[in-house]
Amino acid sequence: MDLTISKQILSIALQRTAGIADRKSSMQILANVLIDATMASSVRLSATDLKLYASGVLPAQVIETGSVTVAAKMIHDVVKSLPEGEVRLRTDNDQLIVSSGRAKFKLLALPADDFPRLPETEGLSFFEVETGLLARMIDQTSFSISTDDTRPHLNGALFQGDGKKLRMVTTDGHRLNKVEHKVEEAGFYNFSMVIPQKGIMEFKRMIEEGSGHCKVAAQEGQIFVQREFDVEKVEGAEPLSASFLLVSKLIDSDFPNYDQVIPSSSERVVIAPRVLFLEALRRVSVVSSDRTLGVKFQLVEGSLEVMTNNPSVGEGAELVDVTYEGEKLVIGFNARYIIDALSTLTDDEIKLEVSGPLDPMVIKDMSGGFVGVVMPMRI
Amino acid sequence: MDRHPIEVLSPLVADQIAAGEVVERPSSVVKELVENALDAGATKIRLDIEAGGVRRIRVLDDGAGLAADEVKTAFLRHATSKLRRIEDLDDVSTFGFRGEALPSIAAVSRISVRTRTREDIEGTLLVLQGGRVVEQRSAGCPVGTEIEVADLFFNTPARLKFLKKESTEASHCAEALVRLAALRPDVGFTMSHAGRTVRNLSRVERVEERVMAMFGGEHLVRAQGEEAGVKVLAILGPPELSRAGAGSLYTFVNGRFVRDKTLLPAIAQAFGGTLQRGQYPVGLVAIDMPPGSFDVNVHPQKTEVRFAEPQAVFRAAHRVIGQMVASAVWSLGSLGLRVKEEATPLRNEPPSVPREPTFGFEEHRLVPPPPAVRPEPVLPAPSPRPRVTDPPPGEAPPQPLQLGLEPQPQTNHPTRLRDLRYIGSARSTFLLLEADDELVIIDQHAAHERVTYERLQRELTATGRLSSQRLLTAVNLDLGPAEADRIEELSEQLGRHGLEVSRTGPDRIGIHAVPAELALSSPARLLADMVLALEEGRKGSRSLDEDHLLATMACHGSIRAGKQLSPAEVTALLSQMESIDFAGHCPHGRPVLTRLPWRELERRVHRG
Repeated sequence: MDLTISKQILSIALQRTAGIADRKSSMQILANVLIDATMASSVRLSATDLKLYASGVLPAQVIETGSVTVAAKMIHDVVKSLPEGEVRLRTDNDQLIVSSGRAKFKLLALPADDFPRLPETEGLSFFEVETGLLARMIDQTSFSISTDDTRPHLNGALFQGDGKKLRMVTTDGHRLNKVEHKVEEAGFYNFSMVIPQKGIMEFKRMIEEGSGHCKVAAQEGQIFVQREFDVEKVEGAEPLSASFLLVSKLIDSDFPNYDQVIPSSSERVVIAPRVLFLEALRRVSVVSSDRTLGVKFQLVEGSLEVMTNNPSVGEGAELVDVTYEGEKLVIGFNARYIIDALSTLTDDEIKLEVSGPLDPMVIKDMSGGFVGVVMPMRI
Repeated sequence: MDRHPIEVLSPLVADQIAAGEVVERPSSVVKELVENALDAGATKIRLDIEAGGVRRIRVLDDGAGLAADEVKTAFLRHATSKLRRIEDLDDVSTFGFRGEALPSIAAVSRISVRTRTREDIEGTLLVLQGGRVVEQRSAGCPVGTEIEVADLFFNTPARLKFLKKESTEASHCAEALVRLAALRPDVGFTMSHAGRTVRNLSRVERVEERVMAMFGGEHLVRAQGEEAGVKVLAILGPPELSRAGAGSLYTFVNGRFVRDKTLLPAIAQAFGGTLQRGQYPVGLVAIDMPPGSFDVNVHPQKTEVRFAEPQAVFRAAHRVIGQMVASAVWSLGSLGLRVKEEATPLRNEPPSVPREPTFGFEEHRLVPPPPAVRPEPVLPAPSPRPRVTDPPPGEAPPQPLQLGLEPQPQTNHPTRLRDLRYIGSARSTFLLLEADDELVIIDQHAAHERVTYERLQRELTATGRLSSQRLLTAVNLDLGPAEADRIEELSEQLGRHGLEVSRTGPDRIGIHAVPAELALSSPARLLADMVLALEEGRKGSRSLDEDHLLATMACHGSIRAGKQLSPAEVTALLSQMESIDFAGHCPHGRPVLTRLPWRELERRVHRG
């Protein structure tokens, strides 16, 4: 193998793939990145920890085809340190020679044949989603993925499509967050899968930058997300682009029936200014117990008072003007659960629906895409 | 079948039978003889035994001695100088009073006594065999009593057979001596076995010094206080020196060694979960209360006691020791972290008593102590001797142990854990901090567990129940019907601790809410562990299972070993550790931190 590639492109590609490599694995080769040059003008970089798989196809000038694997972190560090310009990657027996200008490194390599086989994308039917939309859906739900390993079916996000809508739902047993969006893009089909937390976070990393669309496909217990990036723009020339693919294994168990948990009606409805309410929660919870962040809401006509009383510190309270006409109610919550939800929303106002002090409270945005359910805390 | 006629036992056989109650083994003889010596006001007592005490037990004292006409009477059944009428029994404060001891011993051994009172010019020699006087005559001897018991159980071979090997019997004898010596620093005790000195407790001024000598210089902390007429003195070691069983914990009531079902749990529980189950601290706890408020005449071995109000004793011991534990952070001692000597304000005692080095049995002495008995003030021993943790020099002078102590100033040192420089963590388990003269190593899980435990306990004390986070859907567990029954029975107690459960099917339990502090732990695991903790605790008393349960819960809610902490998390943990009462141990009794002096490191690399 012998090729030259722009340092900038190689660096971006390594940044997006090398992180997946598993340095702690007992399989040494999983700590490596696979460099695979089979075409004349592109090279593929891949890394995997056997649960997640990331690869990028990058523009390059291939002089001699071939493939090799090399320690992901080391080549990333080496490439980052090089000056801007062309980098040459050349194999020499069991070494990869990285050279740029007068700098030259010989890195120990392992043969590409030992690298795990990568998932095949041939024949998959992808549908397109706007990256900004998908990123927002992840933002509004990923914070309530359960980390309780005795309930693996909750350790991920439910991702569903029903032909018209995309839906993402997470729950940690104390709260549930659901977001739905209409999708008009073509090629959209019915699917339902549970994506593990680590996969969700990697997807978000991949799509959160820039705008445009990404392609999504699901098959045989895996989700595929593919996205094109402009990696080099030179004035007057066509921008060079690279294609990145991220594949995650799915959680092989059923997500609980979330609809059951969302109350269909509530006795009390409150309309609250989102930012004022959020800030009041943040301020008052400063004095509540660090761990439980217990706060009480006192709801009376026209106002919601956020209160906390921490025997070892003191107390705090703040009144928020809200639209509410109904009986007085006092109910306790973990402030964190409500802060998490409110801070990912964008509407000026939010709707709170609640019945009694032991019943779940529903948080909705005014546009109707988001539904959060938070169970109360007995303080 | 042959019919045996009923006959009255001969006095000798009766004595031998009675002896079986009093004289079980050589150590019983030691106990009786040393008690007699103490009752006679000795200042020095020497005990020599041979062959585990079976061949020979000799007790030599410098006490009051016996007059020639009393010597023989002493060996008559129910002869005593300590009790005249049955009413006196309520006020008994000398050790022996049944008048059984000497005749019982005499019945099963060969005894020779040499004794002389200060008033007599000539002493008396009395020799008995199996309870019969063989010889009595005048003899020259020093003031005091020397009594030698030889060939114990020579005429009761059955009893002889039950004895353990010599070394075991010898250590029982030593134990009997130590129990009597613990509260009598004013009396010197020596003991030899087969000519070799095995115990040497010289006369000292304070009980602390005596206890230190007994435990060979471990770090002991003293506390004393009074509640509802129950005075408590405790001199105890830190939790990491605790032992399985109460063998090294000496408990006394009015100077008498006792083993009591009220006292031992009170002491263990006062350590607030820093002790593992079944473990007890080393040291001494002495209770002093009005003579009428307890009954020691329960068993001839007299290690049992019956309190008129056991709850009062429990509360007093629990409170005094609990406060001591809360404030005496043994393992943080050399860091200068909140080391203080616990002193609870006490009512002042009449001025005649305060120098009394023991807990109150002396006022009722019937044998008047000779002048020599009064303990001379002894200077505190020079320094390489073990010391009870005292306030640093200049803050408060060491106080002799007395009942009317002034409250001593609490000394809080400025050094705080978070002021030490955090260097980093090792194996994502140990936090390393640099102090002026040592490296402080903190077990992050144990430390966090301790903090969580304190928080849970504080919340429970303040509000009576732990706050709980409701679950979106009940977590259902399918169990056997018996297990479901058990959990259902415990549901109220679990609910008080934030875990709300109910029966959701014939053999199904649903969890509806979890303790808010532990909201991230698995509800199913939490339930299993909490039920286990409660079941274990059931055998013990109420507040013991409380501690155990909270400890179990704290473990769930704590940072695991192996989790890499950010510097901010470390700072938060350290400041939380300071905000709690007792940071020395995790609730399971493991130490939270250890220290490595730079000197030790330097020594290892041969520097300096």
